[in-house]
Amino acid sequence: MSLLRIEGLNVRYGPVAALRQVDLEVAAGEVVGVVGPNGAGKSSLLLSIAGAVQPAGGAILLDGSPIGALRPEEIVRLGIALVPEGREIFGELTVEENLKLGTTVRSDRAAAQGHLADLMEAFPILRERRAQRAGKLSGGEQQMLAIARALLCRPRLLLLDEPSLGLAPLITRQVYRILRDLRRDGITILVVEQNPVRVRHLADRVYLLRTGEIAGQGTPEILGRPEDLEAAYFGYRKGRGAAS
Amino acid sequence: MSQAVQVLVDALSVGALYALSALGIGLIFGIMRLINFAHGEFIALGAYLLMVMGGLWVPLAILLMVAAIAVLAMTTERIAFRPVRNADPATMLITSFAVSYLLQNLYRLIWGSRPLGFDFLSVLGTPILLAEVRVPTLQLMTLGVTVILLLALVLFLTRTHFGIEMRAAALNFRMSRLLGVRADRVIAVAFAMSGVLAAAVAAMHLSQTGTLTPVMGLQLALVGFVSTIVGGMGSLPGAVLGGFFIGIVTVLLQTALPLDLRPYRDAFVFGIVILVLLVRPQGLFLSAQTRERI
Repeated sequence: MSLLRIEGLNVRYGPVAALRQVDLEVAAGEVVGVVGPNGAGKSSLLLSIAGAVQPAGGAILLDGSPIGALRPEEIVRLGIALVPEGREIFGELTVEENLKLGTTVRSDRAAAQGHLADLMEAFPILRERRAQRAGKLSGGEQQMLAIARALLCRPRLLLLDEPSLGLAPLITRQVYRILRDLRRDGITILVVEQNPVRVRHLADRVYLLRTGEIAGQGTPEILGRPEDLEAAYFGYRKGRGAAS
Repeated sequence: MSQAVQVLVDALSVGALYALSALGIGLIFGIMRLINFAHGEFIALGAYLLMVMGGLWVPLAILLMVAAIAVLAMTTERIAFRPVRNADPATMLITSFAVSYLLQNLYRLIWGSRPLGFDFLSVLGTPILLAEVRVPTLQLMTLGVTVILLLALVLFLTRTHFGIEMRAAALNFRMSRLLGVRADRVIAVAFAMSGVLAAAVAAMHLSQTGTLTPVMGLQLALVGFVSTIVGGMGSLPGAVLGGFFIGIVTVLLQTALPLDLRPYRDAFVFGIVILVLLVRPQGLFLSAQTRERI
């Protein structure tokens, strides 16, 4: 059975439909990518899975049980953690306080402390800057903080919203290296990206999302020729955008 | 010299009262984006309760009053504010006005609209001599209690996990919930804390003035609200500093203005507030980058 199953999901903001009849599945241990242009509804998809946006219709099932009507604080306790678009770290709080917030859902305080220490080992920059205001971190460091914070929730499903957004190519490669490490550790990931090239090297399967609807799905090879894909779905000109 | 110290102590003790009022309003605003005008009525009820419990041992009366106001604040949240939590800010603002008027008129029904007098801790009015300056014990007490409350709040907000959750909720409510911070609990605790702050203000204000009216909290809530704006909306240290700023400006104007102009002191105070906001619309103590986006 799939870990996450979405059936006929509709999301509306007032009169505007953000998602229409979206079907999507993520099996345990799988890395699934959702690719689509700006405004396709990628963020709405992740926000409705995480409970921050109430679906207008359809079903979101985790292990077969509906979670569409639950609150975000309940859904994260069921094991879904979100690394949101723009990272949304708490800039006024210290790096360490941001990480501690990741352990809010944990009842095993001692183990959570150990986990936090382990993550600081894995991300030395966070340990170095633990007492600094998180807002002072660079974009890439903030992204690592947001990922570490989500991992502290010990998620069964990690949702990532445009992890490369606003990052320099070098930093983006670092972030994706981290994601590949997570994949190797067996963490189930649903990642959305505007940039298909990034996802191609990470995902087991991909969905194409366009103006709120699933426009295609399959192995990452359907993203294989960026030129065709872009021309078909995003209206880019050749040689632009996905060159990195 | 001694007069300068006198003015300073006056300014700080008035500022302390304003700072606590501002903090009570700022706590709720930070988390819910609700400007709770009923905060003044929490203060007023605290004063009335102290009068009603006049026969009790004073520390016990204060303790019971603090508990009662905290419960009132939490009840208000549960009944009036929770149903409109996701509504637009205007709806929440009007709800807070409705609660405010409801409570005010309730007090009118019970205790009448005329000012009542009640001697609360008037023994603290006797000044003590501090380095040739006569300082009323009450003012020292006000400052002492304020410092203790602020320290306790800072320790709670920085040293406990729940305190960090509350600060996170005030900075970004949605993201904090996505990390598992329980919205209902954070808001309930914020209201309870704001009730405790209102209760402290009630006790200090009553002991300073000795009079009670159904609208006595209005001025304090208003000044508290203005203080949060001057300090920078959404920032708790800003609210505290804003409160002290307005208190100090008020007392300084009281001393410096010519006698004829003193009745219009508040016009000058708010004139200065307008000037401050023209120069720094984000508030005195917030950087432009962290400016509240409403």
